[in-house]
Amino acid sequence: MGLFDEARVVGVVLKKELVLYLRYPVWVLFDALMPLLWVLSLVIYGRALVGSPYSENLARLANTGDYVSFTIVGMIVSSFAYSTLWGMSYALRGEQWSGTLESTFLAPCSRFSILLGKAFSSMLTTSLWVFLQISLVSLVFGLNVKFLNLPFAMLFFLVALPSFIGIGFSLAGVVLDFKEHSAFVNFLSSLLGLLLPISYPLSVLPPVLRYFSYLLPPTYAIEGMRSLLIMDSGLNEVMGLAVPLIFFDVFWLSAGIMIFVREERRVLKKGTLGYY
Amino acid sequence: MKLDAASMVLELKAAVSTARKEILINLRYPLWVVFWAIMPIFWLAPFVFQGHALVGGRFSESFRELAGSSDYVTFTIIGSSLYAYVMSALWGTGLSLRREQWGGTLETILIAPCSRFSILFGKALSDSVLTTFYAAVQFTLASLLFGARIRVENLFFAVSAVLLMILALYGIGLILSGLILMYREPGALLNFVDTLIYTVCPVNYPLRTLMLFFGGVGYYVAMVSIVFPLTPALEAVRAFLLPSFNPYLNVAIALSYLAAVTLVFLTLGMLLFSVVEKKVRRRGAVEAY
Amino acid sequence: MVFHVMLEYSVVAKRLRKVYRKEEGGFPFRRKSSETIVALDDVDLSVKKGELFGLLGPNGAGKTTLVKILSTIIIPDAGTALVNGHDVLKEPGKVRASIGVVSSGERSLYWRLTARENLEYFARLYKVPDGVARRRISELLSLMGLEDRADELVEKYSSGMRQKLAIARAILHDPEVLLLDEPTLGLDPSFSRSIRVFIREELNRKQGKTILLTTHYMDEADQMCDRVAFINKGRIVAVDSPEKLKAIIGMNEVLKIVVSNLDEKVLTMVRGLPFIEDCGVANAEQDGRTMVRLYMKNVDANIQEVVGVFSKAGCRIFSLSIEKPTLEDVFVKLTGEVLDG
Repeated sequence: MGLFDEARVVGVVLKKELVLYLRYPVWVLFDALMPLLWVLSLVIYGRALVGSPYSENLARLANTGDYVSFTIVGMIVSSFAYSTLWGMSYALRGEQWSGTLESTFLAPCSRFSILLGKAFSSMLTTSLWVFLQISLVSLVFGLNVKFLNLPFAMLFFLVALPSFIGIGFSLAGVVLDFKEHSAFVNFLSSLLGLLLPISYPLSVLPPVLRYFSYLLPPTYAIEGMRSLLIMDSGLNEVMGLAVPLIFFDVFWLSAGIMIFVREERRVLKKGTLGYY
Repeated sequence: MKLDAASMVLELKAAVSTARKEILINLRYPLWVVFWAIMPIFWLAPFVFQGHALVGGRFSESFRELAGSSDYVTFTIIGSSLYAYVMSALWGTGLSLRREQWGGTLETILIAPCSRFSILFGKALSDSVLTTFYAAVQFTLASLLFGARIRVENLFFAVSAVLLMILALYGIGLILSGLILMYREPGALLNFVDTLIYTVCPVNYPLRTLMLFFGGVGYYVAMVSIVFPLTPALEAVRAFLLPSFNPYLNVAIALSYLAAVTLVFLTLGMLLFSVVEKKVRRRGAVEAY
Repeated sequence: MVFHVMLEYSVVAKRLRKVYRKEEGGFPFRRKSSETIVALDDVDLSVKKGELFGLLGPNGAGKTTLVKILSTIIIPDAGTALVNGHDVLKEPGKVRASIGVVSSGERSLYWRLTARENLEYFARLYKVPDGVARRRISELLSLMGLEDRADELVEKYSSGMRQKLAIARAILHDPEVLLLDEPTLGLDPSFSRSIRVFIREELNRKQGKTILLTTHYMDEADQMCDRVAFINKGRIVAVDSPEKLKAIIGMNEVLKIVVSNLDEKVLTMVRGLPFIEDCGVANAEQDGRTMVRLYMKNVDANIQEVVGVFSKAGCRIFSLSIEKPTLEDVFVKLTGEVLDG
């Protein structure tokens, strides 16, 4: 299949996922409300700890005392990271559950086009909820963000995206084979929630955990976006974060494709592709 | 259901047998046991680190003003350990009948000649035993990792408050369980309810935070959260265990409320379950998936 | 030789073997158990171009495994298969592009999409150009009698309608070869009939598609197929046209008699009767009754004697019927197993 045909496959999978999603309005509602609750939770906790919207200690550690803005950037990046990482594997499991995975995989298009379609659909819906989240926070609590740097921040995120997609491919492959989805996803999610500098700077993490944090592409994405949107960072610092991301992109895309291909072959050998 | 002594003994045996079965099944998924015991530390730790980032140590002056104790770490550890029971009520009890339905065993339970409430009580018993194990492991691990300072001499009173909470939560679990049997996709609902409870109940922050910093809306949210058994239980347990803690709710009031609300939720839960069961049998959807 | 084969045969399978080994333990502590199931055991099969070929066997015989290997969804442990000249292992993409697959069960469609949306989606996945897709979808919906409900969610359809939609989806990209795995399973008789007629008259005779159809319904194979292969416990037992297969039994009639208290002594006595050509016994049912098939000439003249032998031996007779031999009779004769397993 030509590249153009594969792109059309990505498009139609994206469209199908969105149409199916919107046909479960209750889920859509919950998906919209959840990020709002998380934000509220963070604001209440921060207020209880500090007694005001401003933390001197955070200002000392991260050049900003506005913990709400600080954390929002972390939450936005991690939301997109999660939706890319999990979007593919959740969607595959969903297809196995409903019985449509085999008929999808029987088509002569590339599996990666199907996975990408699912990832992009997941990211699209996440964008909507993130936008809602940012709007609420801006209106109610106020957001201190350098909006002029927004295009650069988005560009920085695009640099990180291929590594998220690569990790997503490998997770999708593992889930296709092992099928034990929820414990695995929960564990990884919880681990990421701890290691990523979402609501605190890396400097408060014990050194051992910090080391692992530096192995995760989303860490650089969060730090880079924060540098651009909140801190007064120079180009050098941002480039210093972009370079490791490019290495991660190459590594994770290659690894992700290899792992998925290998896991798919195992599943075809075992004959369990369509099994839930 | 007959009420003579012999029948009651048989019903009790059915309950114990159910509890034993549930515990055995659970132990045959060792990965899940480890997961539920250890995972909550991963959810607790970010709050501790965030605290360090915002206040620079383990004590917060703002916490002292709001709740009498500045030790937000122990405060949060207690909240997280008690929250395990809420998770159990939602994902354990709430889903247990749905799990039986998925596994195809719901019919066998409903056909059995013993009272279905004995079976449900047996499930509650097993849930409580397992969750207490998880909560104890979490509390111990968290204390070792982050350091918790509690008044050990009051442990007995704290545990009594927890027991009352377990009963009240169980009634809520029953209500959820009935609703979930009717509506097939519980995941999204449970996730939402889980997050909502975690946000509005004082798991990580003192109750006064809502009133002092979030005006009228905060006050109403606080009042709503008091209705949910976790809140009065948290207030009572912290009052017993956390040195200098100044609860919003008087301990005696909190405990009396818990006792009263337990009866209400248990009754409601049992009523709803009977209604739902009849509906499901009429619809022919007992084994439906 | 290979070139000849490619021209004449659409599907060629050689020495296909598939063994399933159970896995024990939960994630991530999986290990292979010693318990194995041989799903396919050295299977050779060829389907001629334009042929409607039936694969007939009971549940668990290996039919679905074979179809899945041919459609590239399962990798065999040994052996090769060519579909439309493409190797299923080396060129899976080309194989998929040239086949349409319909499986039994209704779960291969998106229930929360409409029929039209389902077809539009799969058209793209199969790289059918947009203009062609629109036209094909219209034609197929009309052909299947679904055009009035094309914009309703599939979850509102009956099983028969869903199966028709599944067939429409399978032929959307106009493939040369169709693999139909028990396409009428679970459907009511009138729907089944209409689907069988459609498959044979429209898809095979009119459109010239090569069709491999699996079934455990003897009537289906007998009425529809040019050739039938019997498959049992992973092995092909016989392959030929339905007439030639039935001729294995000869021009006999079949007396089917359901009895209880059957044992070897009785069977020996019955077999000893001069007019009995052959005797087949299906596995005993749970209530102790067994169906005995007696292949004989002139049933009318000899039926009293047969009944007498059974009665004297203490067997209770529950039913009697006289029939022309069917494929099921041949299957029972060759394998000792019944089709409806």
